[in-house]
Parts: sequence; structure tokens; C-alpha cells
Amino acid sequence: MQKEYADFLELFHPQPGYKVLEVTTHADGLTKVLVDFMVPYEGRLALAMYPGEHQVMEASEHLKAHEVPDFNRPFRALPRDNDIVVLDDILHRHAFPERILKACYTTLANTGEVIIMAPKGEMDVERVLADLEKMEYRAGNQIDIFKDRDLVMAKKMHMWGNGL
Amino acid sequence: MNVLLPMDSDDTQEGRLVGIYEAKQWAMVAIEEGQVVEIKHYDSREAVTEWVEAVVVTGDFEPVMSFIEEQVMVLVAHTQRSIDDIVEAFLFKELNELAI
Repeated sequence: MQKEYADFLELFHPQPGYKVLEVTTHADGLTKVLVDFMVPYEGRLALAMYPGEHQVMEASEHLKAHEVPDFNRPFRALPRDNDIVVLDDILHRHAFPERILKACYTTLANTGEVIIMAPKGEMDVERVLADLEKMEYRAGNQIDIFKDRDLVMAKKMHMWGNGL
Repeated sequence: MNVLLPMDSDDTQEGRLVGIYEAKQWAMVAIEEGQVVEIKHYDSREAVTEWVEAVVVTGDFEPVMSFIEEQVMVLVAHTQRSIDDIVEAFLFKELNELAI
């Protein structure tokens, strides 16, 4: 496995039944790494595919995928159903970024985390951090893992703002 | 706030709220600062392009799972059927949450 992917997986703290939602415009090697990562924990990766180039993924009980037709619409996810949401190349493209952050908040379990990624230079990191704080996420951080991607991570803190 | 209503026609005055499967039109009511600012009609739910914040349905057993998955608030109008009545009930918080 590439070192970058190994470092990326360090951000996850899996437990049995771990649930991750990846919202992306390009399901690729990272998605496959995440699916493989779920297997020993009986976890599930939900994949929301916005328009873009997606690699074909092998069907598996650990992968549940759906497509979203355009960048005006929300992805599908149940409330408090995910431990981590990964937004890959979505937030700066979506017509309603604040609502996407709100939707992530709703679908995250308490103390769940959101990871926002975008190709280097395409995302205004300071603004994303400010938006995260405004949407009641806490502990927003930029983390340098990928050579070609900016990565920001923040945490949903139950009762430290938005509540449920 | 955008509120989506399954309706039997695109007549803003005479149209009635109906079950999701019976809907012939979907009315998108934009409400800002306690006032209706715009009502748009769509032929199908798939044609709706705006971000929906709430949907109003006729009963607790309507097929609303897809709305819940899209983080849309589901409200139930047990008695109100016209857009005017529904908007009034919405503003006065008289619509019920889904009983599940």
C-alpha cells in the first residue's frame, strides 16, 4: 500500500461495525483501500458518487454505493449512521456547500469526524475551517498527508453546539 | 426555506395535498421571514433542482424513507390540504413530526 494511503488510514479508529461514508467525484484507489480496511471490522463503506470518473468497484457486503445525478442535490445517508464522512473533491464543487456540511453533521454519530479533501490549491482551507466552526464542528485541522491533495478534518461534538 | 408538497394539480389555489404515490405535481414553496416568496410546480420529484429542506405529507405511513436519507425534514399535515392552510400551519408550527 502507498505510504500516503497508510498515513490516511491512521486517521481512522475502527471498531467492530465501523461505518464510513465516502462522498466523491472519483471512486478510485483510495475507495478500494477503504473497502479493504473495513473487512476485518465487519464495517461498511457507503459510497455516494457525484458526477465524475469512477472506477468500477467489486460488489461486496462491505460496500454500499449510490449515485447522485448533479451537484445541486444531497447525498443519501441516514441520521447518525456514520462514524466518519469523507468528502473527496465535493465541497468546493457543490452548489450548497454549507448544506452539505449540515448533512454530514446529521449523518455523523456523536463524536464522529468529517474529512474534507480537494486537489491542492482548489479549496480555500481557511474558509473551510471557518465554515466548519460555523456549522458547529470542533477541532478543525489541516493535515498534510497527500502530496496532491489538501485535507481538512473536524469533529462533531455532541452538546457542544448543535446537539443532535 | 424550501418546502415540498405532493399535490394533485398545479393550481395554487385549488390544488390539494395528496399521498406521494398519487402526486401529479410537486409544489415547491419558498418561505422567507414568515412569508411565501415563491411557489414553483414540478412534474416529478426528480425534476426538483433546488435543495429541499422539508416535505409535507398526508399521513404517518407515507413512503418517506428517501426524504429521510436526504436529510429532509418530514412533516405531516393530517387535516390541512390546501397550500394556504399548509403554509399557515407550517408557520405556526402546527404540522406534526412523523410518528415512527
